Amino acid sequence: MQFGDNKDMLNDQREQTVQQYWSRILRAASGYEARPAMRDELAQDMALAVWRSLSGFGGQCSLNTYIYRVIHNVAVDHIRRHSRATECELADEIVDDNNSPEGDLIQARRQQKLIIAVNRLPLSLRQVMLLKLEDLNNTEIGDVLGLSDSNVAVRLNRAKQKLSDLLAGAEQ
Amino acid sequence: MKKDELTGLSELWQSAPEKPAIALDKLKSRHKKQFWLMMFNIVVETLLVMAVGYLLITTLRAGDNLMQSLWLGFAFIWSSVTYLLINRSRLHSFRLLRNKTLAESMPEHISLIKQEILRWQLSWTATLIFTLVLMFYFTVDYLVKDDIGAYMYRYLLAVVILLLALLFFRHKKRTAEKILKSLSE
Repeated sequence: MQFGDNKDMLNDQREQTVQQYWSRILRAASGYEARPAMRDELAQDMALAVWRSLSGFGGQCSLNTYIYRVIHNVAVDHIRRHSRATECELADEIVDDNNSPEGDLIQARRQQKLIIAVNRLPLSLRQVMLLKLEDLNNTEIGDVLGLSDSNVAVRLNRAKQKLSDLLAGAEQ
Repeated sequence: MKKDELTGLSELWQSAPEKPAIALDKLKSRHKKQFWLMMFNIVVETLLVMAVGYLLITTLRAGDNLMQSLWLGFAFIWSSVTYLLINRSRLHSFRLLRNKTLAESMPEHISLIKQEILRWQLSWTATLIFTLVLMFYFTVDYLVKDDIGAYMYRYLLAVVILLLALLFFRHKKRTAEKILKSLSE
C-alpha cells in the first residue's frame, strides 16, 4: 500500500488505516498497561503515533510490520515515562461484573486473566507474545522486533512457558 | 504450551469486545494542545532560570546578604544543570524514530531513562551538599552570634525543606531505576 501525494487523500488514507488497526491498537495497549485510564491514554498515543508515522511509510517493509513497530515503540516510551502497575494494582484489575450473562462473564474473566498474565511477563517476552497472539508468524515478529527467526523462536518458547505458569497460578 | 492452547489463547485475546471507533480529530486537537503546553513550559523554564541568574548577579553585586547569595547560587546552578539535562532528553526523545525495530530503539529508550536517573542523582547530590553547607553556616553563625533565636525558625524550615527535597529526589531516582530494570528484562 502506498500513500498518495495529494494531502487530502493522504489524510483520508491515514485515518482509514488507523481505524482499521484500532482494535489491534487497543489490544496492544492492554498488553502493556493494565490500569484502565492509562491504558486508554496509551491507546490514544499509539493511534496518534501511527497516524503521524504513516506519512513516512515508503514501502521499506510491510505496512503491518511498520505499524506494529510504531505501536510497540510507543508502548516502551509509555513504560519509560510512567511507572508500571504494582502487583496489587494488577490483582485489582480482575473485573467483577454481575450484570452480564454467565457465559459472557466467564469469557470476560478469562480475557482479563490473560491480560493480567501478559502484563506480568518480562518486557522482551511480552513483546514476542503480544505479536504472536495477534497471529503474526515468527518471520513477521522478527521484522517488527529486529530479531532473527531463531531468536524469536527461543523467546517465544520461554514466553509460552512463562505465560502457562502465570495462567496456572491465576487459576489456583 | 501446545499449539492448540496458543491458538485458543489467540482467539481469546482477539475476541475482546468491540469498542467505538476512535475520534482522530479530537486526538489531533489534544496533541496540538499538548505541544503548545510543552512549548509554554520550555519558555517559562527558560525565563525562570534567567530570572534566578539575574537575582544572583544583583545580590552578589550588592554583596550584603551571604545567606541569600548562597540560596540563589544553589538555585541557579541546580536549575541550570537540570534545565540543560531535561532539554537534552526532550530533544533525544523527539528524534527517537517510532518506526525503528525494537532492537534498534531499545538502547535509546534505555539511554533516556539512564539520563533521567542521572538528573535525579545530580539533584540529590547537589541538595545534600547544599544542606551540609547550610548546616555548617548555621553552626558557625550560632557560635559567633549570641542572639540567633529570631532566625532559628528560618534555619530549621530551610533544613526541613531540603531534607524533604532529598527524600523526593531519592524516591524519583528509585522509581526510574525500577523502570530501567523493566526495560532491561
